[in-house]
Amino acid sequence: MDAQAATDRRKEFLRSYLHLIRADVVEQGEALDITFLGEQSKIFRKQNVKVCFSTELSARYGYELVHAGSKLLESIYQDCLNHADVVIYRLKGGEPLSANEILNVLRLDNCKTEFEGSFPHTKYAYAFIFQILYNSEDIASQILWVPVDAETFEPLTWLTLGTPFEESIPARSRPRLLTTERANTAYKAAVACVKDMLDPDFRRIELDVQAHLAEELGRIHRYYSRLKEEEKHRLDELERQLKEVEEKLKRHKTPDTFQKYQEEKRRLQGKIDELKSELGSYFERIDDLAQKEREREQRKHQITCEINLISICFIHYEAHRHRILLFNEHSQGTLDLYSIPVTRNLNLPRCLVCKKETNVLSLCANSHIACGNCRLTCAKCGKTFCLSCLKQTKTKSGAKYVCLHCFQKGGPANRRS
Amino acid sequence: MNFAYSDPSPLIKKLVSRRWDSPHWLQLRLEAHRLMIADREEDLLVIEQLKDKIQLMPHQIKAAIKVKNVMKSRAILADEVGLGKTVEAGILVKENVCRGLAKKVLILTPASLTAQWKDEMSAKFSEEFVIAGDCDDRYEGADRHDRLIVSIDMAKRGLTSERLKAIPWDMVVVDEAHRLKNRASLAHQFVRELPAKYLLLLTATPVQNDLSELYNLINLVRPGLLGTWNSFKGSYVKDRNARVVANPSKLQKTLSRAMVRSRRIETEAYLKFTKRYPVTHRTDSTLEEQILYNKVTQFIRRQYFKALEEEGSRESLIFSLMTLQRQLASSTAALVKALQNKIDSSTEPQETLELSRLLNEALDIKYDSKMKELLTIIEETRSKILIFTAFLETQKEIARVLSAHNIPTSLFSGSLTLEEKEEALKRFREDAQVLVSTEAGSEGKNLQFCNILVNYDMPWNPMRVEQRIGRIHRIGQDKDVYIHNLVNQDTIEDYMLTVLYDKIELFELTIGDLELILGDEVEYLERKIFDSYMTAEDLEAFKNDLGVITDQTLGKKATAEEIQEFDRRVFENFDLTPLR
Repeated sequence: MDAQAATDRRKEFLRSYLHLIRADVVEQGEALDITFLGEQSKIFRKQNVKVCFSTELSARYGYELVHAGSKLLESIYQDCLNHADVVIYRLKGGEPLSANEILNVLRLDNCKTEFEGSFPHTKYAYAFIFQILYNSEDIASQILWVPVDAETFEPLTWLTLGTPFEESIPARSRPRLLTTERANTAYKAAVACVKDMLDPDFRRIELDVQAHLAEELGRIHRYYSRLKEEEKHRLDELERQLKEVEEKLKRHKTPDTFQKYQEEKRRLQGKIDELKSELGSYFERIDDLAQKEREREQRKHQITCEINLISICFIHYEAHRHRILLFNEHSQGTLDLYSIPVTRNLNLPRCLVCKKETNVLSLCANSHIACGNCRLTCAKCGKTFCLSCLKQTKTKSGAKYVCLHCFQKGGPANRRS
Repeated sequence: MNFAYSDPSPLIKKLVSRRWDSPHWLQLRLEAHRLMIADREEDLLVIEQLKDKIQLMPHQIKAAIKVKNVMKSRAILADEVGLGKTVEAGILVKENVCRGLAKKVLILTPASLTAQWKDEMSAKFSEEFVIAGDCDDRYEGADRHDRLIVSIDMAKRGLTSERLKAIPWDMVVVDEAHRLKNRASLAHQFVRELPAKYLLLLTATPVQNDLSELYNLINLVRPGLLGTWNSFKGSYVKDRNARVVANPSKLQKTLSRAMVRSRRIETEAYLKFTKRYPVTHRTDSTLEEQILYNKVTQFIRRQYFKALEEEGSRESLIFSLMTLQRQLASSTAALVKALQNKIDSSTEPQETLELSRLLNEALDIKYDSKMKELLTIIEETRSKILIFTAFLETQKEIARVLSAHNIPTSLFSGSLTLEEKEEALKRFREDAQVLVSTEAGSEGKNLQFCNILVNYDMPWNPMRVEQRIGRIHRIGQDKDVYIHNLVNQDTIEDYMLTVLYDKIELFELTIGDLELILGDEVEYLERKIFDSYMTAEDLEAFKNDLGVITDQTLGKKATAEEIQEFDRRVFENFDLTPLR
């Protein structure tokens, strides 16, 4: 976010806050003259303040500058955080979708439809708001909103935070679906959903972190291996020198040179023995240090993702159940679709086989409703079936799908499941 | 990836028991959350919360960002003296604590700086550290504290060393880290074996004698970054003494992965380094004052020789005599209080009698000569003045006299509560012309609006002198600073000031300079001077002793200057600034 965008956002936030607490605000160009009323003045420890968002204005007129970290903004943040950790509200109602609006959305593969009617229905949802915080050097936190159906615990992708709402008058008796057990189950479903949502992030972060860790471990390995090599090299060099001296010793010509080379040999042998005796413990120490450093780096590269629940909302809303009859010459089936009037959203049906939402519908001869990808025609009787009603058989000309009825009727030569 | 979840049950319980809020607040609550995140999505989370408490400089913020992001909080902070390495380390400690990356933090410093670190971390970063050892009542053992300060000398030895090495520290900060330059030293080995996830080494002089020291320090933060010593020598060392860098551009590039160094010259655009002017006021004591001074000194000397014969309590006796000598020089009020205490605790009739006589003579002195001088300074200056004294009784006496002269005065001392301290500083900032402070705890408070300091009594420890000056001569001070030192002629303080402090130009030195010059010796200097004052045959002999100490210190100062010069030469053409 650039600086100007950040300032605009803060400005908007401040205005919304002042509006909500009903503070008296007079706009004076780029500055706001705010008078806090009653209890508010206790929060801000003053009754009147003139604020602005530019350092120039602040310097020229002495207005209080509102910026990231400014006292006024921090107090407002704090006041907001003291509110709305638990919220209940109702989504606004509206006209239900018409039969045409609904049928226009659907694409029929092998059947026709008849609209049987719409029925209003009250539904409930839990919405959980999480703050996600990675305990890591360079990854910032984020806020996630996860609504879950209070009956089925399925995530409600259509229900966004900005969906228009109205303040709900708390019912005298608690809604049936508002129980501790349900809220806990919904919470678990929401957490699972959060993990799915964050999965691409996790993979990216882990890749980055693993790459960096590998680089660090490589450095540690190179350094300590090199230290060992240097010592081994020192030993090799001494042994080479020893061999040279031994050669010279063989070829000595005078007692003096014999004495000299003998002395040199003893010195080198002493050094070699000393080095060899030290080498074991030196290598052990090096391995120990290297191990400690590897452990330290691994500890340093561990990432923890904190999933902190910061608010829960219990939402009730009016939905419409629309019953549609699907039929063809072989069978018929009914389909219930829900629409949310306030968003004009229609919940698409899910395919019986692949469970994915779809607007392309096929009617199976056994009355099942599947998507275009999950239906085939029986090789023997020519009827359309969903994949769960078909069997694969091997014939001389290759694999074919037949319906269960034809499969059971077919001769033994055809049966190979 | 590990996951941690907050407990949802309080919110669920609240929801089920129908204690809900208006949905209109929800949007604002979430926007507040988002804005708070956005505000913090700058590279460091803690900057905004620290800005209220300290004036952060661009090079400090940039250094912290670079160390966190590029060096993953294992680095050498090697800014030149006076640029605020402590603040950079503090930012990084706070940042890692805020991100949940550091829970257990260990700070290793020279013994003389432990208290200062504790004060700074508390006042500037709201991080409450405990000092290991007897000097901090809250200390319960190394493994019992998540924030611990240990003197490096204590940490590297025996059982303490083993205990500290067994704790999985998340972050370790080593101040004056040039003490780790020798890889064979205990201190180096100790830090090397500490299981620290993050490690910051602070030093203004990463090289002092040769390049192996730089290699050794880098090897602590990132072993192997410069290869093995043999490969380092082959690649980067030009001469046999390892004092000339070969291939500087490559070395600079490698070092920039583990070291930041800001230079004064790079910060000149926004950082003004003002001058310090010491002014010595040698007041002529009255005859009564001189007689009393000599008599009390004689008493102390006799007690000193008696104390030398004591086996068990020798050190504590000598310490109390040293304090009495300092109280004598501070003010008559401090002396009176000290004598009364001594009379109360004395068990020998002869001694009690002598003390009573001295007390009566002290009570006859109604007005200290130094006080007159102080009033003159205040009258002539007519601007904000910070007066330091080591003793509460002196502070009270100064306050009494100033009040009698209608000079608005605020008092600051360690005995005040946090709120009272804030109030005292506020009063000084807004109304009072004078703040009279004892040594205790104004560290971290912004007193840069004041540029005149009076040492009503002189500390015997040069580090304390510097700490006092540091209260006003710090980043953010845009005026030259005047330091008025009040001493009575021919007292121990007089000689210390004129023979030692003036010659080593103490008032121009910074804490970093002093540490480099005196090292651990600073701890023993005041005792050394006191011993000499007590045992010298006469005044001339004492002056000679003081001269010797001064010459030794001057020698060390010259060595320190050479070290700084060598360090400067090595890094002369290196660009390790975080500002680019």
